[in-house]
Amino acid sequence: MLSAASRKYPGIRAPLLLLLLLLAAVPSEAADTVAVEVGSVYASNEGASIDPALGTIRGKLQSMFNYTSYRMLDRKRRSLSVGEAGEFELPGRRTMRATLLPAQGDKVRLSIRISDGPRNLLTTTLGLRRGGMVLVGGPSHQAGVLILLISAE
Amino acid sequence: MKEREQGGVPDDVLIRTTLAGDDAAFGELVERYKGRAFAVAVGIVGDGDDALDVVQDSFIKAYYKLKAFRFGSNFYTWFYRLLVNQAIDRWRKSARSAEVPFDESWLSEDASPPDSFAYPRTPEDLAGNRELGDALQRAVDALPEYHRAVIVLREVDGMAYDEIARVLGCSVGTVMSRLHYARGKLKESLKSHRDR
Amino acid sequence: MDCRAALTSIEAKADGLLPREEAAELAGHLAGCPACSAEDAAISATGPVLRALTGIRAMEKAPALDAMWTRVRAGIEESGETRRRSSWIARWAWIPAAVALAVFALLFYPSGTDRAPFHPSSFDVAVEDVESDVATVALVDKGEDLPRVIWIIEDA
Repeated sequence: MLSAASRKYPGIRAPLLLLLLLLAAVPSEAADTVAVEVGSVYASNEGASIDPALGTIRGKLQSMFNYTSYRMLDRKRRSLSVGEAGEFELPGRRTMRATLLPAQGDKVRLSIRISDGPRNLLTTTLGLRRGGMVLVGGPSHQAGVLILLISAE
Repeated sequence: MKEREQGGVPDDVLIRTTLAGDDAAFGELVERYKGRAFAVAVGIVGDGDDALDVVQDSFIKAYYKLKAFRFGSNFYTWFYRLLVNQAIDRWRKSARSAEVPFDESWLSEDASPPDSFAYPRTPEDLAGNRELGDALQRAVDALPEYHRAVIVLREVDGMAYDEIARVLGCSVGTVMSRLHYARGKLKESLKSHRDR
Repeated sequence: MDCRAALTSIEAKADGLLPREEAAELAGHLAGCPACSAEDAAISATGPVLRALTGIRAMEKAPALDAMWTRVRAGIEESGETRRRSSWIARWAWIPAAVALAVFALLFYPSGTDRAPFHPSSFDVAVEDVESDVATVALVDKGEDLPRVIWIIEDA
């Protein structure tokens, strides 16, 4: 790729190398955007199975709750800039709206609103670190409940 | 789902020919898949005109993304992912999604089993039972989008579970769970009706 | 076979996953159980009725569907005009296309559908405020190495 470019544009090799080295230091996601991810988990006592898609959270869920089955229904991810809101469709016709608020350092502040149609189930403002996670649970779903795994990177 | 080889031309040959500059080859792909694409789109968005727009936009998007297609993989699965996402986006923006209330009061949990009842199984039979068709459409519209996508891909298009999982980017377990939920809801709407 | 087992078998049958021996057992149960027979009929009918419904829509739009390639081709030509204008500008940018690709790859996180399972690095969460119109909300902390939980208890 580099040799093809330098054949076409003689004398460009050194500046290109410098550019690529500089770019290699750029983080994989722009510093002022946050990737908000929401996993929707269906927790119930129907059967005894834990969805492998839940990764390292599996053990945590088992030690925190008394349900016998945890199944990941959906996973959604949105990249947000400060002031930007992202909508997440949740199971059971609920929706979550997350707005990225200004914050210092590697802290992430989110305004979260979870609605069931016109009903405001929850409005909250959270502060967490990049790579952090919080759980929001309780809304009924089929024979059990929904537990949302909300994380920010 | 196997590649279609109508007229002996595999999908990947048509794709290569398109990428080489022959748009008529892409026209072949459109002709080959437009019917099934429309059936899936209309199952998700519920309206024929919206479904036509979804199919058109999906093919146009596919044309421009063709360079990213990985030869050896299945064109229809790849295309379906574009199509389902377009259909769901269209549904969310449409007036229909705002109109459908989450109201199951018209479903009868206590419907007693009919003595002898035959559900319509062809468009012609269903056209003669408008109330049942409308009831089923309401039940489909009331499903969450990804549950609707799963039941349409399975029951209308006949897609296998692992293919549906690839199209929707979820596990086979999630596909089965959504399918059971959707089937349960549609079954209740059918049970509450009887043949006249 | 009781009704509970029959309902499970009916679902498996709808999924095409019912073994032959169980199918025979189910058929025997359905012959003598009107309630399960109605369930089976309704579940078995969901596919055909759904296909019939989409079939009706397709018949209504058959002429427009016939002209789909014409519509797509027109859309491609229209989009093509816009893209040709954009590529004229890109051709004369001094960064070669290959470097532009490297920039794109470095700056944007590829969001594929096969993402790794959850691996949170922190459960340290501050809840600044909480409000609900229709539920009681509880904050639950079960330990430093466990996630904080906001639990919604909907009012009856």
